[in-house]
Amino acid sequence: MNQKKVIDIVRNNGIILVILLLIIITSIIERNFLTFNNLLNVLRQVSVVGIVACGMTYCIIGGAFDLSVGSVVSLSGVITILSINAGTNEYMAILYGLLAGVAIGIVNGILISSIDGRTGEAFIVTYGMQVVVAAIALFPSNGLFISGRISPGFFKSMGQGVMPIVIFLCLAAFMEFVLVKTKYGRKMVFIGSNLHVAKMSGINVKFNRITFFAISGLLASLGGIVLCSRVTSSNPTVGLNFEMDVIAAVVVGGTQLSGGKGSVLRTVMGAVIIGIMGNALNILGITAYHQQIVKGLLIIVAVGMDILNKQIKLREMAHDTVFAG
Amino acid sequence: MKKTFLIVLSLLLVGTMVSAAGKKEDDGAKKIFMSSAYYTAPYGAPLQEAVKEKAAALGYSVQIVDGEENADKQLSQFKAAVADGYDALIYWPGDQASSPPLVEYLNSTKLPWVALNTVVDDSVIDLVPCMIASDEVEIGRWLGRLIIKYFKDNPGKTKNVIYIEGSPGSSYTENLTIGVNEILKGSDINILNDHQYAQYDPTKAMVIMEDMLTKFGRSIDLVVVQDGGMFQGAYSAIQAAGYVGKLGLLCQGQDLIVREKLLDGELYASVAQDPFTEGALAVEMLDKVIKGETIEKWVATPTGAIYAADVDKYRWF
Amino acid sequence: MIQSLPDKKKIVTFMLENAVSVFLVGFIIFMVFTKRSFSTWDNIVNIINESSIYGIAACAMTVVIISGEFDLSASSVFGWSTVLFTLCCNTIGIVGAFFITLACGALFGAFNGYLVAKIRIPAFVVTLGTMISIKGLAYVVTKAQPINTTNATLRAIGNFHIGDISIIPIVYLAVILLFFWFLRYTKFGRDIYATGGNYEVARLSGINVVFSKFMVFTMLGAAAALAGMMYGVRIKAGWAPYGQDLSLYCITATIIGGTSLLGGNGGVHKTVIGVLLLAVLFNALTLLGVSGSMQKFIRGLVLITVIMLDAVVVKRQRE
Repeated sequence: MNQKKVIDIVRNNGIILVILLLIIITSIIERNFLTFNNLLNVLRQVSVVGIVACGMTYCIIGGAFDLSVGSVVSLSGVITILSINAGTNEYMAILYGLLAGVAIGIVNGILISSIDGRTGEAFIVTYGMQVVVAAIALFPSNGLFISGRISPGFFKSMGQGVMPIVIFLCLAAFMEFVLVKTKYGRKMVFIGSNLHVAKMSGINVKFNRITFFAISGLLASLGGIVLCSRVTSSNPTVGLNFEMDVIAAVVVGGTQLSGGKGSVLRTVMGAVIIGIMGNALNILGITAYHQQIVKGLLIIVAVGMDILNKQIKLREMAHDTVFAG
Repeated sequence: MKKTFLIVLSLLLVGTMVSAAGKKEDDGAKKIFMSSAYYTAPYGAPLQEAVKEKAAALGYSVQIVDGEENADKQLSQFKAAVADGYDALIYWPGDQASSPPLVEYLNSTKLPWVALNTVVDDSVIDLVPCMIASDEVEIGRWLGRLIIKYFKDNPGKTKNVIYIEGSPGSSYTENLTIGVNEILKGSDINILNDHQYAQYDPTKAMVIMEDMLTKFGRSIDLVVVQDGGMFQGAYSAIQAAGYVGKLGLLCQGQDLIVREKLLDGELYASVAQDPFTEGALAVEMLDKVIKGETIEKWVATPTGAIYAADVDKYRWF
Repeated sequence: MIQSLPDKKKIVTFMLENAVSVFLVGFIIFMVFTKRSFSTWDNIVNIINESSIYGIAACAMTVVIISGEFDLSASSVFGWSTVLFTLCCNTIGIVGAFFITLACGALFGAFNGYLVAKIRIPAFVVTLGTMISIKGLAYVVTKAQPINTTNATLRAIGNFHIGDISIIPIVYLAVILLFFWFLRYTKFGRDIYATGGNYEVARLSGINVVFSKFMVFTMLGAAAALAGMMYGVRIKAGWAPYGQDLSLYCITATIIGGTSLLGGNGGVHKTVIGVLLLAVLFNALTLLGVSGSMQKFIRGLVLITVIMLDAVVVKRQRE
C-alpha cells in the first residue's frame, strides 16, 4: 500500500523530483547555492518570464497563443524609459508602457477573432505582429540601449529587492483565483475547449477572446517594465526569442497547448523549475551552451512524463474496470 | 466590418511601401550601399549615423540595410544592390568564417568597396581593398594594462577578477581575451571564473553578475566587462546587491552609462572604440578607393584608455 | 437553363480564392514598373537563388503541416548541419560529409517523429525541446566558433552553373518535384492527407497513422540537413546560429501559400508560391531603398494582411 503511494507521488511529480536531485547535487558541490539570497535571486530572475507566462497561460487556455509578447516586452520598456527621460511623471510613464501592451493585445484579439482564428491563424497573426512591433521598438533609437535617468522612486523599486517577486506571485495568485472561481475563468476554459459549442451557447466569444489577448499584452508590457527597472535601461531587442522561454515555462508547468485546460500556478512552477535549473548549472560552471542541451531535454522529459503518466493511469482505470465487475 | 478592415490594412501596406519607395531620389549623386550584419546592435546605431553624416558631407547618398548576421542574406543584398546600379559598397561582416564568399563576390563586381568593424577571415584578408576595424587584440591589451594599473593603485591582499565576455565565436570577444591574457601572463592576477558569456545582452550580464556575486561574494576585487551594454547590466546587479564601492569596475565602451560612472568615480577606466570615428573613416577610405587613390589595406580605429579626466575628448552614445 | 453567375462576381470570387497569387502577381507588376532593376535577369537569378535554400526545407515542412503537425526544430537541424557538413568536408571529404549530414538530419527528425507519433507528446513541445538542445549541441561541438572549409570539391560544386543558375535551385526543383509526386501519386502521400484531415477516422480505416507521422518528421530532418548543406555550398561555412529563422519562415511560407495549419489539405505547389512571395518581397524592399527597421515593419504587415485575406476567403467558402 505504501509502496504504491510512493510510486504514485513519483509519477505525478516526476519532474519535481528530477529538479530536487539537481538541487541536492548542486548544493553539495557549491555551498552558496542553497542560501536564501541565491534562491531569492533565482525567483527574481524568473519573475519577468513568469509575469509574461501568466498572461500567456490565459491565452493558451483560451485556445490560442501569442507570439508577439517578446516584442511587446521590448516596446514597453522603450516607451517607459523614453517617457521618463523626457521628464514625464514616472507613474504616467508606466501607464504609457502598459497601454502600449494592452493596445497591441487588443489589435491581436480583434484580428484573430474577426476571422475566428484558431491555432494556425493565431500563430501567423501574432508572429506578424511580433515583427511589426519589434520594428516599432527600434524606430526611436535604432538599436541603442536607452539609458534611463532614473531617480529612486516607484519605478526603480519595481525591479529591486523582492518587488519583482511580489508582483509576480501576487499576480499569479490573483489570476489563478479568477480562473478557477469566477465566471470569466469558466468562460475561458469553455471557449478554449470547444470554440464551436461556446459560440452557440450565447457567450460573446469574440469579445472574450479579445480580452485574453489584451491580458497577454498587458502582462507582457508589465514584464517589460519590470525588466527595464532591473537594468535601468531599455534594450529594444531584449525580447528577441523571449516568447519561446515563456511558452516553455507554460508547457513545463503542465498546461496543454490544445487549450481548455491549465493552471497559472503550474506555470509559476514551470518558470521556477527552468530558473533553478539554469541557476544551478550556472553556478556549477556549466557553460550556457551545455545548459541549452539540458534545457531542451528537460522540456521534453517534463511533458513526456506527464503524458506517459496519464496513459498509464488510463490503462489502469480500464484494467480496474474490467476486473472490478 | 471585415471587408473594411482588409481594405484599410491593404491600403496601409501599399501606402507604406509607396512612400518608402518615393523617398529615394535620383539626383545624380554617387550611391553607396551598406549591409550591416549588426544593424540593431547598440554600436551599430552611432556607426551608421556617422556613415550617413560623412557620406552626405562628401556628396554621396547612402542606403544601409540589415544583414541580420546572415551571410547568405548579405550576399543576396549585395547582388540586389549591384543589379540596382549602386556605385560603391560597404560590407560589415557578421562572423569571420562566412566572409570569404562575400569578399570574393565583392571583388568580382569590380566596384569600389571597403569592409568594416568585423575583421574578415584570414584567408581573404589580403583581398580586401581596405579594412577599417579596431585592432581588437590591442583593445584587449589595454584592458589588461588597466587591470594591472588598477591593482597598483589599489593594492590589497588578493587580486581577484571577474571577467565577463560577449559571445563565444565572435572575433571581438575572442580577440579581446587574447589581448587580456597576453598582458596578464605571468602576473599574479587571478581570474575567478571560467568563461562567462553575456552575449552583449545587459540582462544576461546582470544575471551572470548576480550568480557570480552569489558564488564569490566578498572575494571579488575587480569586475571587468567587455562592453558598455553588458557593463550596464553587471552594474545593476552590483548596485542591487549593495556592492558599489566594495569592488572595482573596468570596461570597454563609450556608452552614456560608462561616461556617467567614470565621472562618478565608480568606474576606474574605460577603453575606447569609437563608432563615430569608425563610420566616418570607412566612408573616407571608400571615397579614396572610388577616386583611385592609394590607401593602406588596414586602417585601425584608434583606441586607448579613457579616464574620468578624458571624458570630453570623446563622443558618447 | 441554369443561370451562370454574373461575370463580375466570378472574378471577385476567383481573386479572393487565390488571394495570395493575385497579390504576388500584382506586386510583381508594381515592381516591374517602379524599378527597372527588378526585372533584370541578374535580379531574377538573385531571387531564385535566395528562395532556394530555405525553400527546400519549406517543402518538407508543408508535408509535416499537411499531416497535422509542425516542427520548430528545423532551424537547429539546419544550423547543426552546416556545422557537421563543414567539419566533415574538412576531414573526410565531401561525399562522406553529404551522407553523414543527411543521415544525421534524418536521425534527429526520426527522434522528433518517434516522440510525437508514438509517445504522443505534442509536436510543439518536442520540437521546442529539440530546437533548443540541437542548437546547444552545435555550439558545444565547435566551442561556439564558426568554422569554414576550403574543400576544393565543394568550391567546384559552388561554382557550377548552368547559364547563371547554380546547383542550388536545381536541387530545390528536384525536391519540389519529388514531394509533389509522392504527395499526389502514392498511397503514402494520400495517407498523410488522411492522417492530417482526421486522425481518428484515418486510424480506424486502417491507415498506419503512427508511421505516417513518424516519416514526415524524418523527412523534414533530412530536408533541413540538405538545406544546410546547400547553405554550405554557397557560403562554405558552418555555425550553430545559421538558419535561426528557418522554421518560422517555412511555416509562414506554407500558410501563406494556402495550406491550412489544421492539416489535411494543401500541397507543395502552393508553398512554392508562398516562398516566391516572400523572396520577391524581401528583394523588392531592398531595391526600393527601404531602411532596415521599415523593412521589418512592412514584412510583418504583409504577413498579417495575407493571412487575414486568406482566412476571409476560407470563411466565405465555408458559408
